[in-house]
Order: sequence, then structure tokens, then C-alpha cells
Amino acid sequence: MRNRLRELRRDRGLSQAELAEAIEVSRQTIIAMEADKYDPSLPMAYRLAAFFAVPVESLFFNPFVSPVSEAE
Amino acid sequence: MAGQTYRGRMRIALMLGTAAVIVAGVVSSRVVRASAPGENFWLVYPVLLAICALAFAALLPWWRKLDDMQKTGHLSSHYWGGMAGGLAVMLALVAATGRHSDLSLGALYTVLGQAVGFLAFLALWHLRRGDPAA
Repeated sequence: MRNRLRELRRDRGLSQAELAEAIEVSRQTIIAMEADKYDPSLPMAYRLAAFFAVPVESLFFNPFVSPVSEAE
Repeated sequence: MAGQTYRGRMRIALMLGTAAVIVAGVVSSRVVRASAPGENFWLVYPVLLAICALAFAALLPWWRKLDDMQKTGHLSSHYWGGMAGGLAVMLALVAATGRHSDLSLGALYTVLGQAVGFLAFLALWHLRRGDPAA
């Protein structure tokens, strides 16, 4: 699932290890999510959204909604 | 301190779990050697099961600390890798020693035990997630 995790993390000046530590997951999990190689569970997605204080849908893009219908 | 970070707590939980498994292996071996094979079965077997249960319990804190990607990795590897590895060894034993050798039968019973355990856990998993209104 495409996401803005890397962008938000860098905006905060955090390393992958620091973000992993902050939300209590492994660094490999952050790396996999940033590389779009692992889709997080809902609780983990909400946890990340809460950490960055953004709505979950602005962090993880819904793959079942096209950008056109989203704009409408 | 290492135990104050998530990584540190994971490391400690894994070390304690691993140590418990090693201790369980050593103690189990002593229990088995304490009597002749088959002798005192109804005493030795429950004791071995209890030791196993304690080793599992010691690994629970580590398991609960894993995030969902790590858990998925372990479950998937255990299911596919564990089954494939076990079956490959069983087939090698059957090919090398024949269908009815003690080694082949031992391997077969282990695989059967795994299958029964798998089905029991799967049934429990479905029951716990069943729709109460259904």
C-alpha cells in the first residue's frame, strides 16, 4: 500500500530506528512499510497516524479508490 | 538501560525465552534418562509435557512483544518452512530405511502430531472468532 511514511518521518527528522522505537515495532517493519513491501494492520496504521497526528487516509493511500474519484 | 527501549525489552525477552528452552531441553533429557524407555510412562510423559508448557510460557512475553509484521513472518515461515522441512526429513527417512522402520514411524508420528495440533488450533481459532449472532 502506497504511503507517506518516509516523507513524514523525514519531516520530523527521525531515523527509521527512532520511529520504530517510538511506536514499538522493529526497524525492519518500518523499512518494509516505507518500501511498500508490507501492509500494516489497522491498529498499526492508526498508531502511526496518531503518532504523526494525521488522518490515517492521508498516511496510507486507499488502493481501491482512484485519485479521480477521491478528488470528486 | 537496554530494558527501557523496545529493542532492549525484545532482546531481554528473547534471551530469557531461549534460556528457558535450553534449560527445558536439559531437564527433559535428565527426566528421560532417569528411567528405562517405556517405564513409568504415565509419570514421565506428563512431566515432559509440563516442562514443554513452561518453555512455551517463557516465550510468551517475547511473542507478545513482536509487531504484526514479525508475527506474520514467524507464522508463515513456521507453517511453510516447518512443514516442508519436516516432510522432507520424513521422506528421506522413508526412502533410506523403509516405510516400517522405527525412524520412519517416529517421523510419521511427529508429522501426524503436527497435523492434529494444527487442526485443533485452527478449530479453536475459528471458534474464538465466530459470529455470536450466527
